[in-house]
Amino acid sequence: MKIGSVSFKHLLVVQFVLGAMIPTLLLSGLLIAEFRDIQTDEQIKKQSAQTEKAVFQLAFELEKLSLQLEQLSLDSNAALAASSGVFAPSARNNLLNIAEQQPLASALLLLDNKYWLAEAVPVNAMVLPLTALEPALATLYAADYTATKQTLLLDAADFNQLLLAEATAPLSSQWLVMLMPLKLADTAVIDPRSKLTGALVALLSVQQIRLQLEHYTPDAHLLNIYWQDKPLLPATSEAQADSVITQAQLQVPGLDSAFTVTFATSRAVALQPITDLTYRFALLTALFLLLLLVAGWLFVRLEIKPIAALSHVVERYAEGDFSQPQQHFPFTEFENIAKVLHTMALKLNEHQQLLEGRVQQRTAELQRAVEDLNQMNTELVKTQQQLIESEKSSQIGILVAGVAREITAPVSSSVQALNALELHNMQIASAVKQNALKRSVFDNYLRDSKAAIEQLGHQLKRAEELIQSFKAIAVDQSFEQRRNFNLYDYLQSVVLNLRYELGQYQVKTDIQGDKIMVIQSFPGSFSRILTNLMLNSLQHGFERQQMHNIWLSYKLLADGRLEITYQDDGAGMAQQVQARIFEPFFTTAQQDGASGLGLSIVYNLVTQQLKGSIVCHSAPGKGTSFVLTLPVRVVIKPR
Amino acid sequence: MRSVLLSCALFMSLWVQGATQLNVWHMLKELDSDFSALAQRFSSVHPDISVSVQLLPNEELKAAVIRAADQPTAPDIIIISSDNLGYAPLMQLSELPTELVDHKLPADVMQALQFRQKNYGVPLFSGNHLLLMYNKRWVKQPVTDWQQLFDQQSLFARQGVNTLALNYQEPYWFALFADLFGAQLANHDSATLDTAAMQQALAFYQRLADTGVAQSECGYHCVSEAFYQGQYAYAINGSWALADARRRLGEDLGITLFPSWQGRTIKPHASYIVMIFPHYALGGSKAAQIKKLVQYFRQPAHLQALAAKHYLTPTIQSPVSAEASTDPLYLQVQAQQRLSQLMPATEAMVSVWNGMQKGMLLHQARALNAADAAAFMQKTAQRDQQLLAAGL
Repeated sequence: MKIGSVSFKHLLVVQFVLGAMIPTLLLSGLLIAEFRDIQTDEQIKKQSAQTEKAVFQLAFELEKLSLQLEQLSLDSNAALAASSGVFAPSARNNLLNIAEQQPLASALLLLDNKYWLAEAVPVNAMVLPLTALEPALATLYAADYTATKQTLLLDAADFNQLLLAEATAPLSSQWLVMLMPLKLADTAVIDPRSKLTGALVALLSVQQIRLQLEHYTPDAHLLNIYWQDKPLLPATSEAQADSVITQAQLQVPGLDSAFTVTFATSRAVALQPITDLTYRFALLTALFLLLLLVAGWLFVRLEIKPIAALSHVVERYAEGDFSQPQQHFPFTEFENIAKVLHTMALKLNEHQQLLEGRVQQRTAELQRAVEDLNQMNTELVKTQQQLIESEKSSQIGILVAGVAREITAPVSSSVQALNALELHNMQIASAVKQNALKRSVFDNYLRDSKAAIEQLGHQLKRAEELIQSFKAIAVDQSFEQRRNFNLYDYLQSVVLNLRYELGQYQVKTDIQGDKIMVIQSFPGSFSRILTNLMLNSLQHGFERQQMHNIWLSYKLLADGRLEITYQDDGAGMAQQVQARIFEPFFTTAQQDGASGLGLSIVYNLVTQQLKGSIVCHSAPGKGTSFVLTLPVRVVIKPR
Repeated sequence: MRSVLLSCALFMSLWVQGATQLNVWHMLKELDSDFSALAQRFSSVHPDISVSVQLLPNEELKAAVIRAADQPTAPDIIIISSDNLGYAPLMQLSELPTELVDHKLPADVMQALQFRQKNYGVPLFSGNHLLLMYNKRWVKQPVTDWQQLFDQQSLFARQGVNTLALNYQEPYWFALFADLFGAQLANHDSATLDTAAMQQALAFYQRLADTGVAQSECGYHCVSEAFYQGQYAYAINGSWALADARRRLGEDLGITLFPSWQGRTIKPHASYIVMIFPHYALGGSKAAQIKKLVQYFRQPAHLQALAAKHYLTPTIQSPVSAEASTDPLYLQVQAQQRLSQLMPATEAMVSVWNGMQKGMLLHQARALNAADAAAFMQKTAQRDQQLLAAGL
């Protein structure tokens, strides 16, 4: 992800959330771990204490039930209820009150001394089979007015069906029975005159005791209840391997020995509150983080809003809208930036208007300059054409003069030879006519005429060669047509044509290249290029008193183009001169009548006529070389 | 305990002042303030006689009277329903002297006021029985047949209203349905509960709960406060509650005869409101003062005022006021009263209620079927009657 593609808003939100989340999570994790370590043992102890507390609480309730029953048994209305139906409602209300307060008792019974069930709560118990109770009741009744409250443990499966119908199997058939004698006395003192009218009986299922204990100890598993080492509950599941076994003594009022209750507390269950707390803490942390996220988003939104507005302002400035009024922002920093931007915009606006004025002015000036330049250029082009034409005329003149010069010598020599021959002929003819011809004279005549004829022939041949050469150059320069030509011969002929000019200097020319290669191109252009280069060397590079060389070589490059190298050992030129040599009318010998067009013509011929390129290498005192690279069609390939 | 303390306080006070203290206990909560006011007016007429009026719930009243019969704190006068005369021996009631006996009463009424052919009760009002009330907000046309009530249950349920408020676990209310099937509770001083009619009544009573017409947990609050708040369309409650119902429901209160079932009608068990005299009070030292109080209470104007207020029928008639005779509610009460049956003052009659309640509760709890429940009722009633006959 590229930094540039990240939203600043998202970055701020991530920064905000991470800034809050990481410390929170680290701190939370540390605290939870510490807390868990500390609480583990505490929870185990707490579970153990809870089981003890549950047993104490149950013992208290049993004691309370016993006391309530005892108190009711002392109520004469209860005693009367055993012997008269008139008192039944009152007794029933009392029993209902106790039953409501003591759900531990599965049934509360009020019996008369003939085992008649006068009242029972719940009403189902009215039809309870009392066979199991009768021995205990008989013992109680036998004691008559001396009877006291008793508690006993009965195995009475008959009670289960009626009183524990809704309980789940397996059930314990053990029942705890509390017996309270009902006595009626005329006085406050129980004495032999007192009458035992019946008994109050509370039936407490061991099963119900178990349920109550389990209710009090939701985190512990009750394994069994023992009385005198005898288990009172059916076999239950074994304790888990990680369980902690605890025992507690349940004191039952009226019973000789206490119940022993065994609990198994699973460590996992014991630690459940811590686990729950951990989850709760995690949830709270998550909520807190969520709150932070929302808060972060809101804050960032609040922070980003002015940035976005500022960005919009900047965009408008960027679009050139400098006229927008200054925007106001809720934060000082943004307000300052907006203020600065607004000031900048105002100044930019001023500068822009100023610049626009200047640009318009400059544009008008440039427009005028361009127009002037165009006009000047037109004039220059015109002048250039005139000069080129003039140069052409000049070169034709040079050519004609050269032709005249070259032709003059052989023609003169031929005329002289012809005149001498004519003179000798006339002398011979006269001598013959006078018969004065002498052998010696005739021999001289023959010798002289032979020499004259030889000279004449030599001079005429020489003239013919010159004429052929001039003709060839003249034809090439006139037509500028592509044609096939032997490059070596052509370059030789060009050099030959410049023999007069070269004769003014002590110059040795050397042409290196394949002598049979024939190319198709514009030979006139080649001639004019070489002529100009050589005249340029003579005029600007050579001293008449010194011996100079001109080397001319050519070769075909791998890409098929022709490379011609022209080199002299003249004076060379400085770098600044070299940089301008192809410019038209640039010359360092204007005082000598140079036009400054020679190399410019060369450049134009190479680049425009021949579609090639030309490079100059030179340094003062090191001579000058030109390398021409020209596209040509090779007709006869070099060897 | 409260009554004992109160009696002690009054005794000490009167001992100092030298006035005769009369203790009146009664069970009529609705008439408590009226009785107190009347007693106060009596005391103002007879400054030498101070009257303490004490209200006790019915069952508690009976037990307390029996317990206190031989105690100095025993009440001198009890205002109670006439069927309780069956406790005459236990309560040690005084037989009425001739001057307190109204010989003009019809024979059946006289019989209801006698225990073993002896007069023990001075009648104040008749018309003490159950009534079928309805809320006109929910009931436009009261039902005449129980089947209609079964049919309308779903209609009421859709309106968010319960159908019938019934003091479901009270045997006095169940007795209505026993009568619907022709079950006679006692005959010739013997309980007659173990009958096929009783079994039918138990089944029908169970059906009322099973179909949702009545609720088994419905009690005194249900037939009064819940009904007054519009939670029930119909309610069965005693005539003693009629004034309260009228005050709470106003013109929405309607009374109708009990519906019939398969051609049979209900004759609610009725009794008289009587004054009785435990601990042989009329033979004691305060007999004269007691008689003065009885005469004062029985003055036609006093009875008429209380009767008009509580839709009761005074046993001593004065010229009936126009308002009382034309009040539709009063006329409905009278109509239902004419269809009622007076409970005999016998040991058997007072002995049936405990057994009947236990039997119906066992049946409701599905601990016993109808036949066994009826048998259980009979057995319990017979035992209670035996105990009653044997005395404490």
